[in-house]
Amino acid sequence: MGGSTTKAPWARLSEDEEYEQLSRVRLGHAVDVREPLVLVSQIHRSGGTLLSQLFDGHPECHAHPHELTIGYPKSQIWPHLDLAAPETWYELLYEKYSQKHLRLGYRKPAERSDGEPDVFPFVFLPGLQQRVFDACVAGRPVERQRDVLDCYFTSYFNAWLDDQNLYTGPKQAITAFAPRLNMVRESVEGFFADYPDGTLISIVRDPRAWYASVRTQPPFSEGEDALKRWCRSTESALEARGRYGDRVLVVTYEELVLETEATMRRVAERVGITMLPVLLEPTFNGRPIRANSFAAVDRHGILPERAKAYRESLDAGTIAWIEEQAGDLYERACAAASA
Amino acid sequence: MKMPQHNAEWPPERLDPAGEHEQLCRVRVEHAVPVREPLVLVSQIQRSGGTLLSQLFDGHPECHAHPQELKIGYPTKRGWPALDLDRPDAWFDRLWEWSAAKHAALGYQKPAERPESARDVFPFLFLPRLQRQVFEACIAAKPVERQRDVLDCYFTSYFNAWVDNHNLYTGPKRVVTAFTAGLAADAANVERFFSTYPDGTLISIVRNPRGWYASARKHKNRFRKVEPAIARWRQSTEAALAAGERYGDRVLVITYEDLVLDTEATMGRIAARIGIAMLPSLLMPTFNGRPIRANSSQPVPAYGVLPDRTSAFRDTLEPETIELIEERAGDLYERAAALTLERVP
Repeated sequence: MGGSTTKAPWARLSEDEEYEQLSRVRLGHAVDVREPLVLVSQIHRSGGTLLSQLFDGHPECHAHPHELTIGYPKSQIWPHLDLAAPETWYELLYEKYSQKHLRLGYRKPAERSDGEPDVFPFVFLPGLQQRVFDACVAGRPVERQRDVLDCYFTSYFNAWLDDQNLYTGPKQAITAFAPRLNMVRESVEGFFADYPDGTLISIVRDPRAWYASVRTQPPFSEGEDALKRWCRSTESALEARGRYGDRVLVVTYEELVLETEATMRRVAERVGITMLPVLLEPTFNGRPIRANSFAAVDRHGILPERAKAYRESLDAGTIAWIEEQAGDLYERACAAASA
Repeated sequence: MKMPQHNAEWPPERLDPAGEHEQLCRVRVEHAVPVREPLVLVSQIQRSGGTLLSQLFDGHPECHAHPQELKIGYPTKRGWPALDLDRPDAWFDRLWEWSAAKHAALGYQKPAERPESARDVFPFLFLPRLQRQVFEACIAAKPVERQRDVLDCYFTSYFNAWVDNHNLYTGPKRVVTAFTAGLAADAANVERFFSTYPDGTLISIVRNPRGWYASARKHKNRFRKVEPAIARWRQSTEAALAAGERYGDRVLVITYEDLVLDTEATMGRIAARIGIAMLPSLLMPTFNGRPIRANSSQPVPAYGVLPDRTSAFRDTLEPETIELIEERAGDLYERAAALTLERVP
């Protein structure tokens, strides 16, 4: 305990001491995070952010609040840790964005009708995260990569100080969104090797609407290359579904935004959480958040009109070309989703 | 797949502990949630269910629920504060609650009669220096014309400095809820409370004096002798009834027995009166969203409201003590119980 007797009582501890005390208390009461991972993954601009924000606030989920970037060397590569080199574990899993979001707040750039992005506070202490991770790894035998990942998620959610959902429960799942990871076969294999109890959710968006959205977003380009990526993502989702059966759930973006309640009920049932109204409203840490759309967004909640908005922005020739290239595949994805 | 060699982005640019503390404070101050809602103050003599009621409000998305006994009073917690509006330098020190710092260091616990090993201890992440920063920023941001403006800034600082508060961002908020034992026994305090919060509500809980005495005599030495203890119970109950007479619908008198035997109906009435939605969270006592066991004078094996406490006095009080209490306070309890039925819609 520091400080002189002349200090006001609220100033009895220095900043360092307050930090130390806070870290000690958090470590002493750390919430273990060992639940199965529900991983949302498909190509960008398909509704992954939306689905992850629908899980936010559910008392039975530890919902990772932004894109999961534990992959190495790229975020779509499922990490492969050397269990004999514990000093490398945290380094490889560490997500630099948490520090950025602490500094600048969480925001999604998309367009806003009022020109002002929604900025959400994200009170996260990277130094504390490493301490929680080290304590967790030291506190249990590490026999599998899953043990390390459990410690990573324990460190992540406990270092997120203003997480409005840490103490609620009992938890049934961790939810996270990692774009394009599903497109790398080895990544999907790695995910299910670590999480045989996990679930992969792949969202497939109508290729016409997807193309209308993606062509305005760097680093995508217009034309055949872009559409090939959509096809690859969708084929990967169907292949994973064929290979892993019920552990993979294919959902269309259209059913997610047009029939949200029925779709989220199905998702909830599959991942083993209770259907609650919070699953119908996108939030960030419990606060309503506007869609990350390429068009101006003037309200909170789900935007069903986005499902058909491509008709305003694509010409008839482009629509016909997309239908020819990807229409069948989309129909197959719809069939897998309804199955 | 190749084994990893080295993360090129490692080590990241790191802040030291003081730097992270500063960053945390900056973010929290920049995004501070203003807390300006009317205060719902629960107050009556100790051992009457005030902690229970405050824990039933915890977790309601429309409440900023102060999680421990409110101690902004001066010179003791039982005095409603009177601030000198010409002395802004004194406001924060006068209102500051040392118990928040204590719970930040040791965790929140209610000792009751439990051995230390069996106590529930809850983390309470609270930064006094951050509280001061939020308070200063709030005061600087708008003109202070009334004591209420200072208290709004105080509650803003309190709830935003409580870093792991699970209920800060939900809403929209309708009320601040808090519990201070004994404050309402003095009519001058109640007057000052309503002067600061003309839109506030005072809830006074009246407990059957037999059950109350069986609990209170174990709690404090000053309640050990039955006659002086019952005199204090009478003082509290009479003050609650007098406040009800004077302030009408702004005062709500409920009995402890209604609260624990008919929790859903009672909480439904309270919710309607103070303007919040009736939700299941109002039926389970929690601390920061986690179930908490009762602060009872008896061992408590289970979570939730304990209806059996209403008649437990029969096992611990002698018949002559029960008779004496009924003689001294039975009629007053009947009056309070009748008023409860009459006032609560």
